[in-house]
Amino acid sequence: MSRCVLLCVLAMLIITSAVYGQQQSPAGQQAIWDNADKNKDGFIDRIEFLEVMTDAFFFVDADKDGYLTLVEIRRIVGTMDAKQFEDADRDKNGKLDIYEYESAISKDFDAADTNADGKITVEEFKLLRQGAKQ
Amino acid sequence: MIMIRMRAIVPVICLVFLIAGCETTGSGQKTVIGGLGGAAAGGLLAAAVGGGGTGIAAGTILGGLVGGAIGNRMDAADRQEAQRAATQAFETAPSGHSVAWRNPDNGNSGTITPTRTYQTANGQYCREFQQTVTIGGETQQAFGRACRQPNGSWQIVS
Repeated sequence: MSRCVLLCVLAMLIITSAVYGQQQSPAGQQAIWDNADKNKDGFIDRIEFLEVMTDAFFFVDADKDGYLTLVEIRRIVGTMDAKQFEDADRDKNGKLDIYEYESAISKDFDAADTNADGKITVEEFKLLRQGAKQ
Repeated sequence: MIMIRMRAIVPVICLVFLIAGCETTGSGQKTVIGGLGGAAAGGLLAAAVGGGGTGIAAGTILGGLVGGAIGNRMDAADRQEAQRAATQAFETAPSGHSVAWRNPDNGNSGTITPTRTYQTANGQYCREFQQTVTIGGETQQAFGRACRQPNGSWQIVS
């Protein structure tokens, strides 16, 4: 009995440490926040969000053809739901142009902005980043 | 008998706790149709910080990077260092992040800072930038725009 409990506790400790090990360091989170909060007002507004995401578009577009494919996005962010990519790809050509991309991430901004005040707070940002680890 | 039952129950209880713990991750996220999703958006935010990596970009700069009187005072080595920094900045630096250059022979130096990335109507990538150049202790600041050519070089357009 006690051996079984011990094994369970050990398993939980291993899994917990693995989960926390995947999380970004506070310094990494802060760098991401600082990069997005350009005017340093303590919020990320829609313009700041779109600007930083346009930077991301450029960096993720590996072949610099002006479009993002699912492969290019997955190469950077790890996993991405193919269905969500297809929904964002409105002309169904298998790649996102900058307009489809901006439209999609604008919706992601709305989703992250849980109190709908037009800006992302630190807490909302943390929730968004949690999504990146799922 | 009770001991045997406990042996069977304890792993189940552990499993329930583990599953419950996993389920709480990401709570508070709204599901959005047409968006890329929290995972992708979060990853893209991180990608914007990482930029295009730390490698030295191989492309070239077309057009005058530094003009005016201070540009005339730059020697060939200064220009080479400035162009190397500019190429690296345009290819790899997130907006707001500077790439510095310095000529160790004469102490002249500068920075290139992309400030905004955008696409033109034909899909060409362009980046607005700010630069400083310090020649003989005198610093000059300038702004410009560079657009990426199909061959990977950057053309200064203003």
